[in-house]
Amino acid sequence: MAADDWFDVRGAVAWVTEQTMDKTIGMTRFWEQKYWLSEFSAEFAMAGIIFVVTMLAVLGPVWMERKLIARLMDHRGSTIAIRSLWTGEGNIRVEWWKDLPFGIGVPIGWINGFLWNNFGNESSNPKVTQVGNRSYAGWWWALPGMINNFADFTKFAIKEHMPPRDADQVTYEVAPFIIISTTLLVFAFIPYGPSLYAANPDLSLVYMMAIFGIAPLGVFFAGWASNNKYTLIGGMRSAAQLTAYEIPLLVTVLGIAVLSGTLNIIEIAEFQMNNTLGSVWNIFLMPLGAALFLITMIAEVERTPFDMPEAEAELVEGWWTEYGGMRWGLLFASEYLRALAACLLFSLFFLGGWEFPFEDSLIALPLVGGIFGALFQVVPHSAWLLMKAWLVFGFFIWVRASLHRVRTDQILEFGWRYLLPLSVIQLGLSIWLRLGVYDGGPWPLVVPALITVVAVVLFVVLVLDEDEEALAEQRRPYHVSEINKASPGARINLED
Amino acid sequence: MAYHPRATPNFRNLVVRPMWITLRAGLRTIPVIGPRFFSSGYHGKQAQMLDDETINRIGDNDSGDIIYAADRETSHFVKSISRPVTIMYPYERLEDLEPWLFVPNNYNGRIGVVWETCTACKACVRACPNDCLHMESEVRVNVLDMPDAPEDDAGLSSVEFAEGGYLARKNDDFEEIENTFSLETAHESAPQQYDFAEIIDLSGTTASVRWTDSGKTESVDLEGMIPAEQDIVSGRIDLGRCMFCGLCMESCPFNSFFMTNEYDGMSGLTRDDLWMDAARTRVLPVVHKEAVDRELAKRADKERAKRERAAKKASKEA
Amino acid sequence: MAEMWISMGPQHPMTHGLWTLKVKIDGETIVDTIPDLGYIHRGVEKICESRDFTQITPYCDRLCYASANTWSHSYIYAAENLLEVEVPERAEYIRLIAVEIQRIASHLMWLGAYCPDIGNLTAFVYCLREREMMLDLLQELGGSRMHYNFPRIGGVKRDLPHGFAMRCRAKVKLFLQRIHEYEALLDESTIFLIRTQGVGYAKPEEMVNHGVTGPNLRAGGVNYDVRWAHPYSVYDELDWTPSVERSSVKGADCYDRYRVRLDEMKTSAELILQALDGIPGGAETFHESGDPALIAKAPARASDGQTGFHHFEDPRGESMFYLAGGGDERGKNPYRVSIRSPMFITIPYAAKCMIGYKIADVPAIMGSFDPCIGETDR
Repeated sequence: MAADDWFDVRGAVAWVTEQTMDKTIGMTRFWEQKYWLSEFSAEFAMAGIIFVVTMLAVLGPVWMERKLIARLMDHRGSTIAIRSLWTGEGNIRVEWWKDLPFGIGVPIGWINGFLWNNFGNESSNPKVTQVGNRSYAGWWWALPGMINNFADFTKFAIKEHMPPRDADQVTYEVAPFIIISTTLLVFAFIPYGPSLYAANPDLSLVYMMAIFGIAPLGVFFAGWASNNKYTLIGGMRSAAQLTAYEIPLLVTVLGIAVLSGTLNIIEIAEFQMNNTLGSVWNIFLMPLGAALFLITMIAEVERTPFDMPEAEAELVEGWWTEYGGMRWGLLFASEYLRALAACLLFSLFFLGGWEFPFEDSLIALPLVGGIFGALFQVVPHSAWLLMKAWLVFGFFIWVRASLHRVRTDQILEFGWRYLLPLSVIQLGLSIWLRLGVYDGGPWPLVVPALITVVAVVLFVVLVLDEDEEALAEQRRPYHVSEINKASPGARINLED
Repeated sequence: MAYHPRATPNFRNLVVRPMWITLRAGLRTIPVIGPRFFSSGYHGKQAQMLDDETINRIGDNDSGDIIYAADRETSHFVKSISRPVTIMYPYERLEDLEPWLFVPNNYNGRIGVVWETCTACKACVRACPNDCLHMESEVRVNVLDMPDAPEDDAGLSSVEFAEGGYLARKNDDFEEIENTFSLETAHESAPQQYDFAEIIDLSGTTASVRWTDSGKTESVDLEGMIPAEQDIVSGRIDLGRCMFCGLCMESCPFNSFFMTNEYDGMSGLTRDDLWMDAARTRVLPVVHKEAVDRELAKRADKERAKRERAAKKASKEA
Repeated sequence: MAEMWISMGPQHPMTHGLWTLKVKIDGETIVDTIPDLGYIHRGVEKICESRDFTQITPYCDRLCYASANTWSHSYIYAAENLLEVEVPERAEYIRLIAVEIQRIASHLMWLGAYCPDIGNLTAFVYCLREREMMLDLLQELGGSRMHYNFPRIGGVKRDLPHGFAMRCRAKVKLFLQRIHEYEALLDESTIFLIRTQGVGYAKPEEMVNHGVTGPNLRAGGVNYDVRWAHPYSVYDELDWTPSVERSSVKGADCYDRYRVRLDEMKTSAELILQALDGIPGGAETFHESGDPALIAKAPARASDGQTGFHHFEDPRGESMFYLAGGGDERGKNPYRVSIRSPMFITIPYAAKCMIGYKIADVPAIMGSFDPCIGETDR
């Protein structure tokens, strides 16, 4: 059993509200109302806490994207800010450690000196020595570059809101509202830890997928309402793409639900962590499903290579074009929030939720098990979940840096012709695993091992497989537009 | 010329190749293990970039620590862990870090004029395609030719009567102006004491000239005329129009017009701020010492040759 | 959905220059196109009629600002044809080096702009990083990174600077190795292939009829490279072959045009190395500006009735200059400067190539023809 946190958030919140209500309403003649009032305020408080946690959690992906993209594109750019801790900024090196009381700063000074001598700016060329590093906008002790995001937020908040004159005013205003509110609603059902969640109905998976799927409607509204041909095209593309990828997504998620035997997200996570249930991470049981989930999620959040709806080269910003100020800011935030939601869901469904890898085995170790046990009690499990989610987001960034944008009809073709059959196959596999192989207890090691080995072997085989004939003939891919008349003046026959 | 040997759209090319390349590029930036394990073989390889001439020019103040690679991105300007490859202008300047890029006279930077050797010949004005150089000059009598110059020094200017040149004649009001003009009460600028004319044709002791005031062409006797020259009053260049083509620099016959290494100092808040007059285009002669010395040597040689000829003529006549 | 006209431009991230492409779409399919040019018409031809022959050179730099050297050299060859000047051989080699470095820089700029249009931002950084190397070389040679005003009638402005040969060899060799990285990132990427292969077919017969030249034509299998067919400068003394894509039944698609340009970059790099080795007098010797090894005396005037013409291989096609002398009574200015811009001929054809494809193919197709509106509008 994965160790529980020593701090039970829901319990604490419930206790606090109960006490509050007891002492306030409970003392009045409406004391009978205190029961539902305390429950209600507990839920309300939890919602607020989850909101704050989400907003803090999304800063991670936003910061990672800025830094990681630079490294992957082979320019180091803004990634070096930490160095200015010892080299100083703008030719100024403040010896801040000297201000620390009781001489704690002295060893810091030694470290600083060591860093300056070995990794500093000293050079025989005086002009090079006097350099001041590009100043970074962050707290000096963490996340340099982060303040830029707050500056962005401020900028969004104060910019002018300019609806186009001929836009449909109601739809124009409603669209971003739909998008951002459904995005935030999704987070209501995502548990950050064993006790850190806002809502946990029995069918939370169904609810969440349903809400996740409302956003295409908002996108469509936004694209149409702006009275702009570009946004219309962007909105259409987006609606088509998101709808097309909802299906494989849902089928894959159904596969997960079948495998875990429940439609509740927390129970799916528990299925992977609990020693008496499954206790194997689902990624090893359904690697195909994991890959499908990732791909469909990248398409759902409209990141490259599936960001055709916002493709800058053709549509400027796509369906976001006409929105300014905070509306755009919220849409921008919703993109990252949806990406974060996708990463969190991936971690919950496939990567074992908030369990540290091999947590149970570590606790069960003979000598050091006690230390690990204490560690895992003290460090809130949400930390592990967040780290996994951020790691998955790093994968999203990696994909973005490497791959081109796929054309809309190719995206749709890919979704309908390839992902849908694969997801149905995956569903079949999950059904067979659950009904045919699963026997109620933890998975025997051979099952995930075999599946993983098969998946890796398939991957390697696919990678190494080169169609020599096609290569020799340099045959074109299947989805070539068959145009016979690419010549000036000819009209294509639209009835074909 | 064939396709790339592995250019087919297959599974491997979808997933593996592009993502491996970016991953490797990212891992290459990790300080210690990156260059060791994920290097590409040509990344950051040291290359000889400084040539002897540049080392002579910049002296030994050059950065001994800099490890140059063929591209700026992998040059190690400071031996340390990963440093931004951005040149931290204004603290660092590219000409300090890569001095071969800014060879004086080779770089089309801001205009600089050594006014000491400028003779106002207006060749630069004529060469400019954009009409950005404005030179104001006027015809003047050289100070050594002035009528009231001391006896010993008079007539030693190098200005002579020449076709296309100028001559001057004392005004009728010459004495009157000298005696009566007072700047405090006149409330106007001092009047010219000479009449100037452009020499069209020169033959013996007469010349046909065109007077600048009246425009009349006349044939005059050179006796009593003073040779005059065009001298510069002010010169300006409109950097707002300048396209930094360098034609003016090449057209200057007196090695006075340069394009410096400067790329700063050419900004202003209005278009008029971009008019660079003598003060803003001044280049210290020592900066372009070689060129200035060459020019001086040329002129000194010419002067020496002339004096020799004059001395020979004098001795022959004597 | 009914058919509608979309206007891509004049302010649009894709258009590589200032022009409008009106596209009529039915859903996502393009049904008709109308290109709209002329937004940066600066009247260069007219301006040149009141400038000296030497003063025209910097204007020609600015025709296509992405490949300035090729345009000023194109003009200079025509002016030398007009004024009947023999150029010393060392100057021809130096010109070749400058032009080929510029060709590499221009193709890199193209590739660096093409890939983000298709969605890959990484290649943008890679290409501009290499272009920095080329621009540094051009800065040493010509004095600035973009508009150099490098050739003169009868020769070149100045000699190869001290140490240029050493740095040029190092950079060009590094570039030749780095090309493999681009190829791996692009050629071995399925998504790039599915975006560019089978898209934007252009039949070689039609291209020839339209007057499309350069890499666009060679992608269709037509072996026409002006440097090869009508050699000027010292191209016939060096060992190289033009890059021609094998012809296919349907014509040239975007991938073929990309391959031709990539190959051309390699060819240019090799040409530079050969030229550095073979330059008369050696690449390390240095002559002062004005030395007869670098520039020949040229008459400054061309009287009425004299004409000069030259066609030149620009990175975008075949550029031609036609000069007629006798502009003013002294003959210092030309009477007429007529510039044939390859892109002006290609863009209308490219616009028609897009019919039948999707909107998302517009940047892919248009970008693959490498438009530069500076030379189109003049």
